[in-house]
Amino acid sequence: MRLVLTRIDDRLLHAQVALGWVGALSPDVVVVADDKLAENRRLLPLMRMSLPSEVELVVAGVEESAGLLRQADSDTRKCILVVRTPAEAVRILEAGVRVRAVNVGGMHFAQGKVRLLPYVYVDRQDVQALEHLSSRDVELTAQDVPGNPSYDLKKLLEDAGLGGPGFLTEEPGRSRD
Amino acid sequence: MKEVLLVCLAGGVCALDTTAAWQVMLSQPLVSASIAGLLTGAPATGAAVGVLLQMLWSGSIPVGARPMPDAPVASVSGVWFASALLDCRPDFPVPLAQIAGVAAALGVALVGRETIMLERELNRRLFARFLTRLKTGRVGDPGGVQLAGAALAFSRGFALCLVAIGLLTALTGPACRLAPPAACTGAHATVLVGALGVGVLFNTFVRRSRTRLAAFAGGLVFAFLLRDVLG
Amino acid sequence: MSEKRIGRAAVLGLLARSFYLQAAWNYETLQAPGFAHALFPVGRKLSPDRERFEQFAERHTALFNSNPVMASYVIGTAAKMEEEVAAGRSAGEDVTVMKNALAIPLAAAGDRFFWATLRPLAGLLGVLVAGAGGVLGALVLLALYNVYHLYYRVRGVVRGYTLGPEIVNEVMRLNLVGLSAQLGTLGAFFLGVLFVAAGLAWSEGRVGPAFFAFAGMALVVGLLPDAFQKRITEVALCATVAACFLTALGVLS
Repeated sequence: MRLVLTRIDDRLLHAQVALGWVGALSPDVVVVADDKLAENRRLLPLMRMSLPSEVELVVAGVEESAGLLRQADSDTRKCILVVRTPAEAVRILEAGVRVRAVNVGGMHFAQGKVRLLPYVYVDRQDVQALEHLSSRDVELTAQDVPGNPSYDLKKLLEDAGLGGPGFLTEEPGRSRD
Repeated sequence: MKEVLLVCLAGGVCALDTTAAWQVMLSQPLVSASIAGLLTGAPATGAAVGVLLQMLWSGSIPVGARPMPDAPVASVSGVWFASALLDCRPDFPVPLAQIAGVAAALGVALVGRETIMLERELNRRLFARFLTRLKTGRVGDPGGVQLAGAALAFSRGFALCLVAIGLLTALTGPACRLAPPAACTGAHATVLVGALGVGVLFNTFVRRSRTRLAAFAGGLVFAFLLRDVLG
Repeated sequence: MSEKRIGRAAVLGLLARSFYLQAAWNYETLQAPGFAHALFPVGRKLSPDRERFEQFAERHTALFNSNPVMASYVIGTAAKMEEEVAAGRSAGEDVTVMKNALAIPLAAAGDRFFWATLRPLAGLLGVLVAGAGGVLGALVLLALYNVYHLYYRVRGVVRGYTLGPEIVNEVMRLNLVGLSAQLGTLGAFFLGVLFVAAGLAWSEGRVGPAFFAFAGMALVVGLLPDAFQKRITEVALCATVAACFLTALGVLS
């Protein structure tokens, strides 16, 4: 399958994806790669209800999703992949899926996280995972919905004193607000 | 003066309806503008400005981090400006006054959007303080935060409306003296803004679907056939 | 353990407070203040001892995000499940899991229906009516939107509270996506009507050059990409200010 969007969003499939990105990119398949959700089959039909009927929905564990995306190069269907956190995006990449760009659309507030954008808060583990993606030449942007401004996430991290060389030895900076 | 306060009161209530309370769509431009039209004694002007703004903003949906333009306060101020222009001189062309009202509204909406950001930041701080107290074992009632948030939304709308009407009143005099030649009524400007609005609606309802395109064509044919009946 | 019910008045309270879900909307916890505000009276009734109430408070002050109308299903369900927790038949964690499981699909389907379909449709019909009947247009908008709005809001709280976790099956049968598709098609039809009505009204009733200029411009604007549609306010501001000056100078009639 052809990845037209790889998205990190802790809400997984919600309106910004189901309405915004699906509307703008008209994919054939939406893959939600999440171990916890894949276990709970009962919720699958519930998620199905947010997508138009012509879009196929696949909910699978992270490794299983990677398998689906890796195989079938002949499969030219357009696909949107959604994962919960940067760590899962790394797992997808390490499982051999060619990910060229990652869109961060929702990493919400939790205690101890640093604010980069109203919808992007990061902690140490997030920064490490994002840095890992960046080191593998994955383009990192933050954008919630099509048409809204898109930010260079690497630059945002550096501006917050979280990116660049030596960041791993430092404690994450304090919130700027 | 009493009229200004009434209109701004309406602006505040409609602003409250946008996000903070009820969401019964008093905040839609057509509704806010019609209310303002009734309050200023110019219901036709209110509806006409409301129609243009309603179309222009029909594609805006509250999904994503960026707030929408502040439609209710904008609509109310725009109607105020349009009716002030019509009152300032008996021969002021009606379409031009309406377009000027729309222009004023669009400007107010963009300023309003920035103040909404501020309101949300204040809400964040209020609730963050509530959560901190909760963590230390002092369980309060979120009703206080809620009331403060709603009061903030209303006051923001009311205050912005007052400021906008103040500025627009200052603008009314010079705009009134800028008399266009007799043949220029603003009819072309209305077509231009109307086309923008109908374009947005087209984007909202028709794009990317053959079924929708067929339904649209059906509507076109239907209206053409009945155009004499519909007048 | 004694059986506790929150009672009919409290269910009405949930409904009333559901209208203020977003009173303190913020980027950090989104609708959490409103959700907490709606549920707290339930907690006070069900958890007399301090420790249990603190756990309750923690559950319902966490980040919450859904469609503001469809969230009433979650509010009703959560209240019912809290009765089960208070009776010791269910764990607090179950409530949190169910809240999230319902909130997200209801957000996606509800936003599609209310924001992307019903509201523009109500606006479109309001505009059509206002073109002929002035203030009547606003009443049509309000009536059409609120018939659906109030139906789902009331039904959400009531059914959510009646069914508890079993609400999942009912929510799945709602088919808001299908309803959105139907109303969207209806909207496309009425847009065709508006296209002709507005075009004729602004070109003095004749299908002449003015009509085709209007139609052509509207279609071009309609086909421009998302980045343009998102900036329609800025674009329209420039266009209207320019048009006003050009009219005053006598360039545009």
